[in-house]
Amino acid sequence: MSDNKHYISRKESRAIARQNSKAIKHFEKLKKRKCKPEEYTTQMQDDANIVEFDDLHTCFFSDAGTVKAVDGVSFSIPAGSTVGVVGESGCGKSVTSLSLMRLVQAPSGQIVSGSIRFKASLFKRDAHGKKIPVYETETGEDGQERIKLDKKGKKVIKKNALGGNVYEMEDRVVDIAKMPMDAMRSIRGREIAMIFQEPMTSLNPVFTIGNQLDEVGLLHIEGISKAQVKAHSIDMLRMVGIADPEGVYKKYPHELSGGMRQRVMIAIALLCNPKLIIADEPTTALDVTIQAQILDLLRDIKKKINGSIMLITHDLGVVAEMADYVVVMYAGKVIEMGTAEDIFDRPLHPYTIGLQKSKPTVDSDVDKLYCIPGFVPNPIDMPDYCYFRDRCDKCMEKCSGEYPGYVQVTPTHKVACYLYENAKEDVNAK
Amino acid sequence: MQNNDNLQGGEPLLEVRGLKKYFTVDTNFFGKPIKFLKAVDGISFSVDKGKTLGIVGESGCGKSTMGRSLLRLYDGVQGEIIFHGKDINKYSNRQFDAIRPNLQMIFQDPYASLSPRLTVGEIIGESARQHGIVDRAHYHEYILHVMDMCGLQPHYFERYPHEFSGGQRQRICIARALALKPELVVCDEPVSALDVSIQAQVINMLIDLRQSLGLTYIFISHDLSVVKHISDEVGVMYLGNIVEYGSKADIFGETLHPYTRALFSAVPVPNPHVKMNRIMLKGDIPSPVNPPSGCKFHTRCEQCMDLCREIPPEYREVKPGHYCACHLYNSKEDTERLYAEKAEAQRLEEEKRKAREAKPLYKFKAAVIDKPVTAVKGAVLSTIDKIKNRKDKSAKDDKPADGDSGNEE
Amino acid sequence: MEETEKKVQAMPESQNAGNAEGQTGGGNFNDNLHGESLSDRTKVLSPWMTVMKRFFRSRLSVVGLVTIILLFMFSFIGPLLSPWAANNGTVIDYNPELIVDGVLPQTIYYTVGGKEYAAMDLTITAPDFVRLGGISWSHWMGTDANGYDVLTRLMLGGRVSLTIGFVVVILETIIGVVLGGLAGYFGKWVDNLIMRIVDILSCIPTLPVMLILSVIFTEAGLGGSISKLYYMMIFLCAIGWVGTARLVRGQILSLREQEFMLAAKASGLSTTSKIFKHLMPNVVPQLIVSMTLGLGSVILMEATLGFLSLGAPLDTATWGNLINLASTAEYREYYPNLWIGAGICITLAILAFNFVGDGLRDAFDPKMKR
Repeated sequence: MSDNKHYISRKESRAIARQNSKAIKHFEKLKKRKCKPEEYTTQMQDDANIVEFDDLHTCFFSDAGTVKAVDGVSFSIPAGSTVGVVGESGCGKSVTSLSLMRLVQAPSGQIVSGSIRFKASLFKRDAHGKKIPVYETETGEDGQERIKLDKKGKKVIKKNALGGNVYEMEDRVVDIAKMPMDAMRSIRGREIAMIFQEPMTSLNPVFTIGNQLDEVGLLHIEGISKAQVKAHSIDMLRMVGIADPEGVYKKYPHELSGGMRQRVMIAIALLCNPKLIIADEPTTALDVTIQAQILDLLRDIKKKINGSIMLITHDLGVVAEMADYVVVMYAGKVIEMGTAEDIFDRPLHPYTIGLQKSKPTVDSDVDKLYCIPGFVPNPIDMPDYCYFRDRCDKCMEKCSGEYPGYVQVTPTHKVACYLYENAKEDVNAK
Repeated sequence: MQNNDNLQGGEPLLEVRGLKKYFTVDTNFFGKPIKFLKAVDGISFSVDKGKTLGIVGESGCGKSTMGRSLLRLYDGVQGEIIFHGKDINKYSNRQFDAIRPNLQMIFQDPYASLSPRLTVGEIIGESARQHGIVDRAHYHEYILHVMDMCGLQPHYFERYPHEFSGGQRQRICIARALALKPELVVCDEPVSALDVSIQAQVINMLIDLRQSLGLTYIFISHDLSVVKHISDEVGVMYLGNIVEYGSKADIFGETLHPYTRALFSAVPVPNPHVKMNRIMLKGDIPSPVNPPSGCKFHTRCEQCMDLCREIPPEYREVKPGHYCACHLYNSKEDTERLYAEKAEAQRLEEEKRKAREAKPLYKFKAAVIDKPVTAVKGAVLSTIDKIKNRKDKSAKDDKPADGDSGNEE
Repeated sequence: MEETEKKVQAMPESQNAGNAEGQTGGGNFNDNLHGESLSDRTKVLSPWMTVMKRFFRSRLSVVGLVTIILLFMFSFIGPLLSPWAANNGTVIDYNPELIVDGVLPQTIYYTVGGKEYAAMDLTITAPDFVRLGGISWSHWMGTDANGYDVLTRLMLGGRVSLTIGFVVVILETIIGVVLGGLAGYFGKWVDNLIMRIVDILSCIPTLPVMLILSVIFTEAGLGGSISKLYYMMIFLCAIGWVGTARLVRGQILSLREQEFMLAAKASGLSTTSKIFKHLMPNVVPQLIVSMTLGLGSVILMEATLGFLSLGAPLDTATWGNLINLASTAEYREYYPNLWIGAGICITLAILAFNFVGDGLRDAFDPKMKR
């Protein structure tokens, strides 16, 4: 009954440890290096996109071996749209989003290769690496425009509507995967904001809601005064549909319910007017009636801030409701992507089909649920054949060959499955 | 209870009458409870053998507490739990332990509900061995049989739980429950921690086992679609009460209670073309420590009436076999009667209050003043004593045993 | 519905595919949900390996472990190699040639109860380099005023100190686990009673009471024997278990609320089984950590007692007694070789036990998993 094969031998374990420490050292060094912005500036492939993932590999160097959590993921987020990333636990959907934020848990988790292109608007910097302010101008008595001076003769920096200083900005496409950590800080929170799954634990219990909102505001909006930041925070709380923003501003997290806390988290995410909001299972911990409220709010917010949302979830219903584009992931790979209509009306990959059929719905009535056999594999030392092969009911001989490439079925619809290799026309005809 | 009328085909396996479980939230200095969380506040239902009762509700509605109360995992559960015609809530702990194998439970979190330092075989077999379900000679064989039944491979026997994924762990949990050959299994959100494709496996397995072993389930879940799939009858809970109860067809076909309707419409549908007409509930679920007056749902209800704010609705049979606690289905007489009852109750309360005010705590008599100083001192002391006694007494009168307010009047 | 049927037909194929891989353990196993698949081919770390790996990942804990092993070898194997070990480290008897200035013994013979006894008045004067000798080839750390070889004394002292450490810690742990476990599991009045005893015991100031006890034991005629030290240590156990008891109680209180305990209750397991199979194994890691850390503090306590001349009689070698020499100004200034070794040993032992304890804590703590 003993199964020694199941456990890693001491020798294997030593080899793994050696490998890991070497890899981790290498990537940590890359993270901390100092480099010029030119090194990580690139070009977008399609200018309509705000984020492009290109063959991203993120690995965890664990004691049991290298876990390829994200294994060659490529997809893009068009500006102003919602992209839903669906998959079961361990499929790498969260790691993809954390890679975008460069928040993958170090030192074991590292972006190994690939690129994440992001259209950022960064501060223009002078030769000393300082931000270049825009100064207030006034028309002098002689009709000439000139820079306004304050009483001490200092130049007055222009203020924006919130009361923050205005600096010269530049739009630049950066490769987040290659950025050093200190440069990343100006993007996190300001350009990309994140909403987490657990509203219960993502707020600090010892500070008031107002405190936590203001802190983010003061950090990212330079030159803003405390009063202005408070006004802004309260505005944001109002924006996320909190009825009594002044009251909530003074409260502590434990005084709020789960739904309210998630609203506060969204308010914090919105503070700096981000271009992209990553919502990592934003409603999983909430009840259905509250979930409906939050999803409604997210839709609303997207319209208001004119940004994009990357929605990560395991719930197909939520994706169907929210997303314009859907990316289906399985064991670290994207197996199918397309518009929401593509995925839900014409699902192609056996896994996508199975996933949709295995969820009972309130409307339908079946005797026996369809179920995908087997379990989600743990992506360590994966063989080079379709990872879904063993669970697939349409498995062919070819499937034991190398991992299938993508088949562009329609201009918007891609799938990685041998079934459709020759059937491109068929599907189009359908 | 009214439920009795509903029963068809003989004795139900389990019948619950007026189940209550209050948690003490706050006590006074002497440890006397003064504030309660009414997690389960008077629930009645019955389950026939071989059937599945689904319980739906949002978090904090008391559905898990109810499930655990049925198995007497809490102390101080009130009400009757009639299993095979006997009230097991009256059993002593020893008596209850003897019938425990018949009532088993599957827990929500497969990661927390397995002892981390026991092997799979031990987890599954331990209680079976202790209860004498299987003799020593056939022990190993029996456990492997149970494991096989639940889709676990024989060589898992000596592994530890942490080596398994959520789906496999939940199978271990199910095997542990089934190893005791139970009649009734309380499934407390058995699939909500699992992935969609694994959920389907586990649900199918539960249904298969129900047929092959003749099990009866009480299936607790927040997921309406799962409950619909597996249940024969469904109860919808809100803040410690069942607000609607009926057969699956009734509940999903002719939904009565506004809460049930809102709950159904909030479930996202995996179809991008369906932009459904949502009933968006306002606000959050109120805290069960301070539930709203009248109907507990009135703070979020779209069809809230004046009556709802004042008088809690009665739980009664609106259609044959379909129960609902909502004033919307009151006939005119019902409403009048409820108002009359409320007025009566208020009158009694008022009378009681008046009676209390009528007897003053103590009146000083002028004569006391004339006495010498020492006498006055003695008199004052004894007066204080008397007042104290009176106070204690009236305090006792104010708090009769729960639920029977105004008995002694 | 169609799909469901199709799936059932397709099933055997996929199972065959799984079996074809040759991974499946049981051939008679006919649940088609479980062809051995990708999820099973992954090897995992066994629980024991996981702990080992995490422990050895931290360099300090390895250093600690090595130090402990060295100290043990030093104390338990070292004396076997020392020529002076046989007589408590005394060099005089065995090196008569070193005696320059011996006075011949005058022997008095007398008879008691028909038996003849001999009383000897032996005065041996060893030369100074033997009594307070410097470092030499035969005495690597010199000799002390009584003519003991310091290195050998250090080794023998280690035996006593380490043994006492282990015995005290194990006793403490046993008492602590039993009482803490009772308090945590049964709660209510049991808990109240035991915890109040704990409160009272933790009010006792250890050192002053030790002082008094030492005097009492000396008066009781135990002054010259090592059993005084043992009595002192028993006292240390008697008040030292409170820490363990608190720890165990706390652990059990939190474990009791875990869902797996609820599950154990739901399966109707007996109380013994619940305590010893479900609760205790989960407390063991914390216990091992607290024991390891406790070892250091017991050794320190012994040293303190020795330093204050409260512990073992002075001619018994313990690290504490050796370090006692530093209390004499002359020795402190001119003969550091007498006490510095004991000081280093004590420091090393305590540091090593603490490193190992910390390493074990990290290794057992699932939150540190990475």
